[in-house]
Amino acid sequence: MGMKWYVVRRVAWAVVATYLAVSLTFGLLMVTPNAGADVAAAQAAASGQDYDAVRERYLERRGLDRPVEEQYVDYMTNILTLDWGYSFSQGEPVLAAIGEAWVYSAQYFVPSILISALLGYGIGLYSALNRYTPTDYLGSFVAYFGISIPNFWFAIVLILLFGVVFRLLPTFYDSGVALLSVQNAKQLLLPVVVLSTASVAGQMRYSRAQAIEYARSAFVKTARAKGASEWRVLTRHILRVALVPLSTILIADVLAVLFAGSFIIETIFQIPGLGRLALEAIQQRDTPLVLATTLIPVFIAILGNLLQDLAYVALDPRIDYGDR
Amino acid sequence: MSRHHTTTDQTEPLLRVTDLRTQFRTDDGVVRAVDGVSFGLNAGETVCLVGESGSGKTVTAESITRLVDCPPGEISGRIEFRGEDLTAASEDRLRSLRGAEIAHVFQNPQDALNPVHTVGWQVAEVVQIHESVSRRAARKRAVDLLDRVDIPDPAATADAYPHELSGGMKQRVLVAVALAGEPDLLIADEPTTALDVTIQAQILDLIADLQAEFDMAVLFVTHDLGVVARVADRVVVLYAGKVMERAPVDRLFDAPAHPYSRALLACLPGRGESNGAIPGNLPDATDPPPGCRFASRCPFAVEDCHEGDHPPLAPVAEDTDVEAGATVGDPPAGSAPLAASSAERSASPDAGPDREHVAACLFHGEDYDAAHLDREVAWSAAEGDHGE
Repeated sequence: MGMKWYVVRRVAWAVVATYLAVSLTFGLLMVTPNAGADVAAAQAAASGQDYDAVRERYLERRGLDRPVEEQYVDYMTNILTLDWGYSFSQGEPVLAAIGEAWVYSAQYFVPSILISALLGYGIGLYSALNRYTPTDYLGSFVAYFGISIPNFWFAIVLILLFGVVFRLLPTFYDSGVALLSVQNAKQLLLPVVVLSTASVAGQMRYSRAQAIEYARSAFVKTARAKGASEWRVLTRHILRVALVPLSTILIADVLAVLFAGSFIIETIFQIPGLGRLALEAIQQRDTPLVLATTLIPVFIAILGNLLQDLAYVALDPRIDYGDR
Repeated sequence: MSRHHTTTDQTEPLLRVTDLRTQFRTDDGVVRAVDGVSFGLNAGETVCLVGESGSGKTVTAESITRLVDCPPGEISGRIEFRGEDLTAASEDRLRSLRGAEIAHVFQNPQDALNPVHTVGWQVAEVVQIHESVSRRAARKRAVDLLDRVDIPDPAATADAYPHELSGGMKQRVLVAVALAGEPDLLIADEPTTALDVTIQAQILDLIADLQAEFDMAVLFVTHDLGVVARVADRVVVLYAGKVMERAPVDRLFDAPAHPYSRALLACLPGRGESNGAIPGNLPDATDPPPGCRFASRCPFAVEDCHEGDHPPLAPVAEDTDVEAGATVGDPPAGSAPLAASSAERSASPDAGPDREHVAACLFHGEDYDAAHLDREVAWSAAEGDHGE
């Protein structure tokens, strides 16, 4: 079994997983009561019309009274052709709303991931090589602080401190600011810090544990016996091997932040990103938009796992393509 | 290997270890893994460190270039390499020695290579660390070295990953790694223990060939007396962090002086009536009992053996003809089975550090008669007498 075949199968599996996820969402839609129909019918009933008749008509107009298999084909075609419907809460097509929102999410999200990976791995590796020293304890303290402290509380405290008391940073996000400006960097600082704190902690603890495991290994002793410097041992030997498990954790961590962190961060800092969009969609029972904001993280998860599987090939020569 | 190797400069050995102590501070107390070990190693010579698991032989070997983790390890004493005290050397200085002048081969080749780099990269790494050469030149050297350690198709193997090679091949790669810096001292820590018997012999022969070719001294750590007989010029017997006996290899096998050495030799198949094990266990390394470390397992131990410090190394009298596994009560000196070897010994002058034979046992000291050790004692008796 060659590497090409492995890659082909990984990609094929990603496609299958996507199909299953989209179909599952359709299934959930089918069993969920239609919020729009209920609202329309209730309004009609209030003005003296027949509740059930209005509801019927509402569904009929949208083709929701057709057989399930017909709707399914329709739904899959729409997903595939990127016709994801119209969001009444945003007053524009779903994809247009998402197209506007993702830029705001990416602005704080990408720096957070980079910072948490670099800082987390850095502190973790340093701690592993300097175990039971004051700096190691400080690193562990920072990590446990980051894990223990609730995001929303930490964010509010930071806003109070830096926005209200010291007046150094804006208290909320202003979407009118140019993307590449000092002002934008300043207003992104707090969201990035809050999101990174939790994430750095996780990366740090995992990389410390991994590095400690490999720091004791025989091949690291061989490297030291060769006369390799600590830096060389750390980067070429310990980190290089630890990257295999750490890359898995990074992907999982990115997704966790995406799912949970963005809702809180964007609400508190009033960032009009994907998290806020999803939250509004849910609150206003805007089904097409809920669907889209649910599917996007699913797609990212599948893509992330695919990239991770492909990264394994580059990182670990021991992976047997035949077995996976 | 170069048995009876003679060097021109007897006064200054390549490596002289004096009163080496390596301790580890743990939650259970200070573990004295190596507790006052002394020995020397001449250029081109092979010295074996022998002892059972936990005797401190690996820690001794890894203390020389400070490969033991410090902290928690603490090394004291003197380790003179060409007259330079390595216990006082900076980490930078040690790094420049490691791989270039003092190389290591470790026990288990399965784990000793980095799984994510090609073996060629790992050999070339040594060259790149110690010399400013291009990547291509380093790789060429790596391929040459792989060829030198008899790896078939070295150019192709250089691109292989460790998991694609057998254990014996991996150990050859590790020998190539050790050779890459053209060291003067090779520290081989049980390099054949994890390999099967036929491969063991190949690796031993390879090391012997390379030792002659590169004129390396070899410090060979092993628990296998068969290997000792095959490779050693001189032997240092360790037990519980202490030197029990130092002897030229022929003296150790012909006339082991310390009861512990005799017990080890009696465990060899076809020697003595031992069932292959010494009864009892190593003493507690954090809080060793007073007296001789081996006293609790020694069938010859008298009251004095359990008191005071570990006995000092005393010269073993040349005329004391003793033999492990002597079956009959008290054989007269120079009895038939020993006639040849004692005649050989008395013919040779036996002078100089190369022929030094010392043992840390009261009975070889001035106040006791070493002949006491020749009486027959049932090994199992030791446990009953001094077990707890």
